[in-house]
Amino acid sequence: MAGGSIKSSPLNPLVLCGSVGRRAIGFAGSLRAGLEHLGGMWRMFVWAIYYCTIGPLTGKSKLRGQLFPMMSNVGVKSFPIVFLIAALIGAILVLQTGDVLKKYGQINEAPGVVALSMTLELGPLMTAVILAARVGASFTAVLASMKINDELLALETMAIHPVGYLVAPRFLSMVIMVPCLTVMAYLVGMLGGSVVAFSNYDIPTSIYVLKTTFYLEMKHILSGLMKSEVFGVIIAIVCCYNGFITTGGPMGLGRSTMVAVVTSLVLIIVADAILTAVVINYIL
Amino acid sequence: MIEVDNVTKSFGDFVVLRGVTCQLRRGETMCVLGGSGGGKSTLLKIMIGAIRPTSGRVIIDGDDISRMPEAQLNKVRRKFGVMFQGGALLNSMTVGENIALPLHYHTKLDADTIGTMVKIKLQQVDLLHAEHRLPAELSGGMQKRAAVARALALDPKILFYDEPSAGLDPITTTRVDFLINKLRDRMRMSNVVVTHVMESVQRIADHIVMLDKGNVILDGTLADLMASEDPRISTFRTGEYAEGAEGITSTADYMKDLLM
Ligand SMILES: Nc1ncnc2c1ncn2[C@@H]1O[C@H](COP(=O)(O)OP(=O)(O)OP(=O)(O)O)[C@@H](O)[C@H]1O
Ligand SMILES: [Mg+2]
Repeated sequence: MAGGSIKSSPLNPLVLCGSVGRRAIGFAGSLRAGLEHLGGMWRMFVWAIYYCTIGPLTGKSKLRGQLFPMMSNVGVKSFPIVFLIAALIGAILVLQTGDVLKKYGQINEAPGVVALSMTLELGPLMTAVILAARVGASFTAVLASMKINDELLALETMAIHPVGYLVAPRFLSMVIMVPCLTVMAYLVGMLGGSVVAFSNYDIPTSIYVLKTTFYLEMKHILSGLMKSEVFGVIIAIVCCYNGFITTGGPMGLGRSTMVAVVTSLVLIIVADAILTAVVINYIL
Repeated sequence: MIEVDNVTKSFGDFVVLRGVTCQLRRGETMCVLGGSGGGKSTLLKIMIGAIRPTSGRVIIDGDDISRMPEAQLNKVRRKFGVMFQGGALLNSMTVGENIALPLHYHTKLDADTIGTMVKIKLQQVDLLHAEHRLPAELSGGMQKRAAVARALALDPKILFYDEPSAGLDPITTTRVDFLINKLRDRMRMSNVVVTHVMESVQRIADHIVMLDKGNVILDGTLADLMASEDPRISTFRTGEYAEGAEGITSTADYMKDLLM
């Protein structure tokens, strides 16, 4: 027992090496698993593009029946919550920056703050976060339950490609609806800002609109839309992929949904940082 | 028609099938028997090309599907229909739409013709009244029959059933068995049926393959099954549980088993 305790003491160099080695092996293992998942998502992305473009032309996939209900689910039904959050964000922006701007006699520039932060950052980001939680989670849950129930296998044995049948409509409706929702978020955010600007700082709406058009340029809107498109692709692929790889019954379904939403959010923020650097350095 | 040639399958270190060889002939019903976890569903999934064997070959009408690229495999898949252990109907659509799905994908028929064909398939399994209901609204036995109807949609030559009668009452079990026989006799279909139920085996089997721990321990007719003296087979036949049948007769054996 005494000998054992010395041997297994954490300061024993051999034990130290062993545990570092074990950590390293464990880390290498999870790194490999992570890379495998990235590869899987990439393959799913390529298949999804194929089944959204070439597939329907060659009659290999049929999107028509599924696309519109899916678009309504992704887009139309998400609109109320996007509306609420974007309006409040616009209002909060004016409230937060108003006092400082007023101190320097620049309160009339508040619309510019709202316009630029909504289009370049907050509009795309908040829309993506809402969609990851509302739509992405349901993508994963539905596909995971189909996986558990052997429905994916059944599609495969009917020679219907599960990515073409299940992922393509989800992917396409995301790609179509995310920019639409983001544009709505822009407009609603500015609307929310203008209400507070009028009620708290007596900026007339005509001035607000004028100032907004002064600051806002096409490149801001387009950079924001580019970001939101990337976020939409991330949500669709990450969430569908996690549904497809689910194993282990209802517990697995819960775990996959959690992993899908967290992974989407992390990847969205990472992509946001990279894209912001690109936009600031090369576009603006 | 289907030749399974020395197929092995392992998941990681865990060996499920250890060299399975068997043959399905045209127009016969082959029953795959064996205890729970014996690898029956795995064998079935290998025969339909859903998972690839670790080694060995599966030959369907002269083509080895175990190493076949996916696109070519899809053509072979048109030859068979599969009823999975849980039915695996798509839960988001009605029974009728489920059956219409493969028709929409793989034929150029117009919607009216497809509607008629769906009705014919449902008629074959006595489910005409359930066409517009969702799978979740059906009983377990109805779901299984609906899954058979979907498997029949493209008029396959081979039908695979994974435990068609598990969880059904004796009368519904008999009905499903009659359906299997009817399809074999009238449509000349070949059937592969995975089952636990001895009564079903007696009603439907032309040919029996029995798996135990990944090995084939019987490959023959019903008469061979009934005549076999092998304790693993006779206990399965009678359903009796003999203490010691698993080789545990003493505390020492038990400890050895646990610590292995
Ligand atoms: N994807 C998999 N990964 C790891 N192990 C698996 C996998 N699929 C099956 N197994 C294992 O293979 C063994 C055989 O499984 P299989 O589903 O073929 O059994 P079965 O004979 O159909 O049993 P049952 O009668 O209960 O359906 C089981 O021990 C199972 O744990
Ligand atoms: Mg099984």
